Amino acid sequence: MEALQTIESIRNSGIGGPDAGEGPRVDLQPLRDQAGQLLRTGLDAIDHILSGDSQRLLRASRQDGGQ
Amino acid sequence: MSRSTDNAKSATTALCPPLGGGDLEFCNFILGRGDERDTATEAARMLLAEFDGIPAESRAEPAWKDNRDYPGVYRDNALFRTYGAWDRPASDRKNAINPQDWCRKFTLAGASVYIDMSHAEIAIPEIRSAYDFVKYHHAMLRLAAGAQASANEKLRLHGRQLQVMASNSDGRSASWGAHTNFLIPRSTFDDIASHKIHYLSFLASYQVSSIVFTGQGKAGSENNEPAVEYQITQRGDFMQCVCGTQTTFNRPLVNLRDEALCGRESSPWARLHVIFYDAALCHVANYLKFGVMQIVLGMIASGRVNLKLILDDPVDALRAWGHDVTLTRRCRTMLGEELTAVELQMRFLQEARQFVECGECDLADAPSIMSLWEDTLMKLKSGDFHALAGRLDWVLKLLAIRGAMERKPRLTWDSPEVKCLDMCYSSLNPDDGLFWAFERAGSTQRIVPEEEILRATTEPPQDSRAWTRAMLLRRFGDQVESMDWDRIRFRLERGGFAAPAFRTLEMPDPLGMTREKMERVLTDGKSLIEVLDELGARADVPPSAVAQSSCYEQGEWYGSATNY
Repeated sequence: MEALQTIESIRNSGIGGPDAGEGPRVDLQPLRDQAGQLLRTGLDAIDHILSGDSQRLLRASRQDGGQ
Repeated sequence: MSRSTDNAKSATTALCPPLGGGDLEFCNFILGRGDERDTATEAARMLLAEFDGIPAESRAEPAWKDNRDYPGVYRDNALFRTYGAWDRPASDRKNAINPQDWCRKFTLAGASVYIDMSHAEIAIPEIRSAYDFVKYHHAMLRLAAGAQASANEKLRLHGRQLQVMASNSDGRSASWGAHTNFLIPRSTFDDIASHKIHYLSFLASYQVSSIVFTGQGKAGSENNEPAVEYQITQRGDFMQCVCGTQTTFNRPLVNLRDEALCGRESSPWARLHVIFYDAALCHVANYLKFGVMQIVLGMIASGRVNLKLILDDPVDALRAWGHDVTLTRRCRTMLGEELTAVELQMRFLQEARQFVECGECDLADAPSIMSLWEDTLMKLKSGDFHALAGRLDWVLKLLAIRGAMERKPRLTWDSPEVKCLDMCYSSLNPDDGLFWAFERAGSTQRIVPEEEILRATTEPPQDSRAWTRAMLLRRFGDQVESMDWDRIRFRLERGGFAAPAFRTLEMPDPLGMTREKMERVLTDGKSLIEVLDELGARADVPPSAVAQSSCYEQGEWYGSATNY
């Protein structure tokens, strides 16, 4: 039941609203604001990666295949 | 009713898989060593050394102690020297190592960690729901991140760093897996694998179109596939045929490895080992990856296989859809219709809705799964990627990379920095792991609260045999001689000069030995012998007799099952 409530809250979290596309169109602006916020929250990590030695990491990351 | 009868009855009546599991191989390597190539095996061993657990083989040389290069980290043991011995006859394998399964440990939550080739691999305990799949998948990632941090504490003095990523390819045409496993009736497995080619094609077509919500995303292409800036999946370029039992080459969409992990006797169950999917980090992507597959396998078990949904060429469709982030590419069905991946998924959704609404679907959380599946497909259909960034890894990664490129116009899709962003998306290191940065900021959509995930790092699921495994390891772990998913062999010291006795507890029913059924036996202070007596564990032949005859027949075994 707790899982169901969590999922329902995701489904109805203003992201598309209930039955988006089938019912009345919903205002998508909050979504875009959220996406903008989302990218801003990731900037520190992105900058951290971009400030590192990308070539070195890519060289070291070579792997053998697996399953 | 005996356990075996119970087992057979539940298999004959089940449609949707009532239990499953999953495992994940890591990209692991070391930064800071003079020669930065070929550090994967060393990295895998370092990571494994930091996991707490009971070795699956007590006689295996510990690979996690005293090393001359890194004191206290691990030992350069003899395991590799016996590498080639796995091809020898069983009687000659005493000291051999299966390269796809070595140094295995079982954790006190009933999960497992080991090394597969040169990748550290985690396998979650047997779980009963998509919700628990998300919970235990993330719990194991938390444990791996903790192991990485511990290893890095030791490496810091040497100016080196262990990197661990939950990805599936290195950008140089090497790929490794993130598998999901489903307990299905033997008859359903046989239909898919041997009898009904349209069942196999139906499943392959579902899987291929489901990449729109399961993919992790990747910059560039590999494995001699046409160049592309960004694609939806990590694994798509490596899937080359519809079915087969192989997992490391010519990889099939539908893997037919038939290894039930349900004991040695014939079982009413089989295990579908799905090697197709990417490692996902988003809760919603993982929830749908597991949950929708449960429903689709239930539809197949009930014979609800609509031929109109079968793709003419699922391997080609995977390539076409996987390389098209606009989701507009159309592929032909067997009956000649041209559909996008989302449109085909909508058809599967329609079929599934009928399956659920007519009361045939026996999955308790089907309404939740259907609801989130439908909502996600509607958002994909409307092309609103921003709405999906907190749910789907390939969308989140794409937006993150595009955002970085907009801020730094010198970056192109060919820039090493962009590939670095791609790879670091799934890094377990909190400093450079992009996913965790978004999660910390509350930008991803959670299904399982963090406190539940943390609890699952030490607590087993209560509704599968994983609970009994975990409890036995907690109480009697120091007496485990060897173990696998469906059995534990104990060593009973008899004192003086007497050779130890051995007893094996068979655990063939993954749905049995739950907390409800076993708590009385395991938590009232009984001795190991009393517990084994009560559970019907058999006495094994003494080791001296084993050495002179076929090891398997005499009660010895070697772990060959990589995961549940």
